[in-house]
Amino acid sequence: MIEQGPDSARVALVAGGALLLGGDHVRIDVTVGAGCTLELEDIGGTVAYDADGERSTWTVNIVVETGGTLLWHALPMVIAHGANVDRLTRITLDAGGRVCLRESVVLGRTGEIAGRVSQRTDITMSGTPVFVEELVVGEGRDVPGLIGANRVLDSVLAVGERMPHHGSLVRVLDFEFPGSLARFLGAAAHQSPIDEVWTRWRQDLSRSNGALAHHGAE
Amino acid sequence: MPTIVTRIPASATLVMMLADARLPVGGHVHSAGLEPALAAGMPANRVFDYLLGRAHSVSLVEAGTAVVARHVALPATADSVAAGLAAVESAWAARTPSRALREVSRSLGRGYLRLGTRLWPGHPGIDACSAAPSPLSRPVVLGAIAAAANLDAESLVRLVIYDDAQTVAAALLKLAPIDPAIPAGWVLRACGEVDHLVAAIAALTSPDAIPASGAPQTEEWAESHSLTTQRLFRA
Repeated sequence: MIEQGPDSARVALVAGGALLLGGDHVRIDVTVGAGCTLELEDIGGTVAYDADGERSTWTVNIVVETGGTLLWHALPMVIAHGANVDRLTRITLDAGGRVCLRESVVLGRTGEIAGRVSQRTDITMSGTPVFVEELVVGEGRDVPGLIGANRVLDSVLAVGERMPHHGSLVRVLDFEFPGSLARFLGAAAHQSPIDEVWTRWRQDLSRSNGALAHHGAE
Repeated sequence: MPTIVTRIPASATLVMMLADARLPVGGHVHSAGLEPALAAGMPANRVFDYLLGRAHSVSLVEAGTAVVARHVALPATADSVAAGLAAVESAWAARTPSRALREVSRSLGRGYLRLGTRLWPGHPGIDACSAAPSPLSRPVVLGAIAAAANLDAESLVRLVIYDDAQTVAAALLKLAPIDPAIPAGWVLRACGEVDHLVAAIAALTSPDAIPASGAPQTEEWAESHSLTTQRLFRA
């Protein structure tokens, strides 16, 4: 716990060991109560190590109750050669809930052919699907139209509000349901403008949220 | 007035008609994302990989959507069909994060629905599409047409996969012409590569179970393409 207010908290996530090894099953459950705001900060990124193809799973279950807000700036997950990871991010929101989530996957360390990662995102609000996506990438696949030969998938996802596009920093997809996705595909993480998008979207959300505005002022 | 279809033609006949580029539904203005891809710098020598990648991803989303729409449009009353199709449309929209791609699909859907209302008037699935508060996507309308026309689910899946691949192949001949026999061969090869998936997709009945394979580059390219005026194809 970094800090706590009457209806808000900032919490740091620290990994307990050298994550992620073959056969590991990591599950993170986050529930944000009605009207509350939770900000999560990753302290270190994650490396999915060479597991000789043995499968591991990384499951994140997020529930945001009515009027709650979750802000989560997750650090990159690096998929090393020989890793075989199933990532699942499931977000369930009640009416008026909001989520802003930074996620990034790096396929292989420099000069390395990555292992395999299957990434599913499943978001519903009040029972209506908002964004459902499955991507299977890595192992040197280069499929034009999917992600091509890009190594870095860096994104900010906002649900509950449609976010401004902020010029031409990066292409923003607007969901049918209020929510937006800014995604960068590229060769190297340092080329990604997603940090900037995260900062702006976090501020945009803060303006309409008292508890966040307080944190922002510190 | 077109003849209303009362006697049921064979599935094979329906598939031929629905896959025919001469069908008056407006398909000729689409390149299945090929023009946006080439404009974004994809080399012309990657078109087969692109086409095959679609067969394994977005075509399965499209096919799954059409199959589940067909399933909910099959029996029942117009009311339950309308609610069912709305749920399928939501599932499809959640799997189509690009607004440009949603708009393109819905404009194609309008073309299919014009044909459907003339050929199968009074079918609960077609009526529900016509009465929907906003235009439905192409796979949802196509699913309703399949229900109205008595087209079986496996043929519907193959139709969607074939149509997408053939759309890429035909567009290539206009955008970066090569020997036309070459892309024709690609179409058959791509359809063959995913044929083992057809039965499982044809068996889908629930919107939640519709495949969700995303195509981030395609989405990005489609958004860029929707803003340009220098184009031969709408998408």
